[in-house]
Amino acid sequence: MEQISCLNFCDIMNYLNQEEETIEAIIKKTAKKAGFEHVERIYIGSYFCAQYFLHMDDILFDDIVTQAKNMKIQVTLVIPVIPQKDLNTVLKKLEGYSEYFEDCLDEITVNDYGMLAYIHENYEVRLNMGRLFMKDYRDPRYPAYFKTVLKPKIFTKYLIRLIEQYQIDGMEFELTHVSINFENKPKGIVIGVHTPFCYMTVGQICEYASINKQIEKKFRPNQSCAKECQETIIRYDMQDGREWIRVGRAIYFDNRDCEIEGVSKYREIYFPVEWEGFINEDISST
Amino acid sequence: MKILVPLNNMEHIDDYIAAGAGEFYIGFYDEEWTSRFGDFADINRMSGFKENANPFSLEEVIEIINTVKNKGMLIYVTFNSSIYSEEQLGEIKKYFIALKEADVDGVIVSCIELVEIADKLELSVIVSTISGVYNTQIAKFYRNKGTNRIIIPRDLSVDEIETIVKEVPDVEYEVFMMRNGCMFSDANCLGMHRNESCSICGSLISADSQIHIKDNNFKKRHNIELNDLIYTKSFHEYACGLCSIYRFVKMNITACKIVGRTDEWKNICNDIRYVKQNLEIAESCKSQEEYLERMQLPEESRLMCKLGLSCYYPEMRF
Repeated sequence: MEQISCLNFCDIMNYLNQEEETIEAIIKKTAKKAGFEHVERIYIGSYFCAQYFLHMDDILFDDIVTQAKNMKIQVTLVIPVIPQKDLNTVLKKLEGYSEYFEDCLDEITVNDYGMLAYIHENYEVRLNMGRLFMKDYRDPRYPAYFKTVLKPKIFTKYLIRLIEQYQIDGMEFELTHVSINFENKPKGIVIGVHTPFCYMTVGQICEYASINKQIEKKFRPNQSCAKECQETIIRYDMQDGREWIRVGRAIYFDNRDCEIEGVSKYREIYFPVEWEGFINEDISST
Repeated sequence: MKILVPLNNMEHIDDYIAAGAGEFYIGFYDEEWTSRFGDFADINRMSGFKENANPFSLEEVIEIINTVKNKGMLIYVTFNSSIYSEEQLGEIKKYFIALKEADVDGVIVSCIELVEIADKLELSVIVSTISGVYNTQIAKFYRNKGTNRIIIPRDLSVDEIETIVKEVPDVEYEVFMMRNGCMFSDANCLGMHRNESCSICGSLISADSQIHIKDNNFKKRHNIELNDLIYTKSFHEYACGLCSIYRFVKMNITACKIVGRTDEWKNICNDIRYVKQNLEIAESCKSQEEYLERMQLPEESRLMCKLGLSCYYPEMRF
């Protein structure tokens, strides 16, 4: 089985970049961590957070795309679900990114139907359905469910029509079970699989964004922040020997042993999040 | 604005109506579905709670539809599991045909595939919060596919809801009003809802945790830990949206929802009464300020109305 090596810098780029390394050094370091000999694609943007997407540093963004081009790496821009108050601002920001679309930034991953229709109508760019479209339950707390082979439910006749209508090129999945079988995938669709963490839940309410808010203003949906998520990670002990982490707005569990079946080639989209790398790290336990 | 109420207890339907319920929603179980698709395949998001949340079979629900309609009320049946396979969609189509014959007022659906199936059968389609209609783009997409009503996610502000309602007309809207707040988004929370274990949010807040902090210092650690303490111990212990009623009435929101398909009927009746009283007050008020002055606070206001931590729409007060 052929694996296309991809790095997922979404939602954590500032955190990766804090040690003032060059982008090239970050790419090489994270590729090594992933066990990749070379990297074919980088994902930037956000899967889960409109605030992160909205406040991505344009200089850093440009650095990544430029360096990716130098290293002959393709780039995918990932757009999260955007709550209403930020929609117009995000659409404007997208206009600014369009100058990159004819270069190595050659595709967009969207995570909702509204943005799918919008990008299709307004930009000529490859289009992926992101991980938030794939809604099969994932829950290691139920071994009788988790220890089965998932055949993704999204592979329906309706999907085939959707793919034709919106000219969708790829679909992204999670390591939700002990094994995933893609034999029913629509013809021509590029499968991407996020590793080594599977997201389980996410919300518009961000715990980290509230850290420096007065109590009456805490836990508002999609509230502005100072990217506190780039400096804080909570790990949960669910007493199952598995890593459970809160990164940004999302909760993930690790699932490194999941087997992929029914497809000869897929993108492995590696998420290089780590907590051991924190400078002056302090751990407090409950 | 009608009050939408879960109907899991036919003994007390008249109590619900007397309290002010205007619409009902209901789910059902089907043993054939379970034997065909397995114990972890949900017909709706609460199927894992078995009879606690879905006490009726499809045949019983069809009888209930008749009873409810004879009482002049509206009733909807819910199909809001996160996702369905091709075979499951085919099975649900059969349910839809039976419900159409029973003259149900609509089906609550979670995915675009079911919108299309229901629309083709000329069933009224209510798009569930599981679909995550967070902005006008998404609302237009579902409206243009044949949706009759959109349930707005509970993690949007009142101003955002107003923008969607104004910019995407020709569809009804429903909002969350009472009970069971949520830390995460219904649309993308993909843990199981079942009897054997609590929801994932419950597991997380009761789990031991370690907080990793970059560039640690006392103040930073204090703020992060205090924030986590409030989040895990006090946030959304209750959930209430009573302070937003005036705004929703002015927006012509069609229905507000009281959730709690596994909750005690007396508690639900109590919430219906509070919403009903406040709807009447809102109708007679000339401004939001007047409404906030005159409205009835919830019975547990000593606990609930503190710091916005139990508010669906905290910006109304805080």
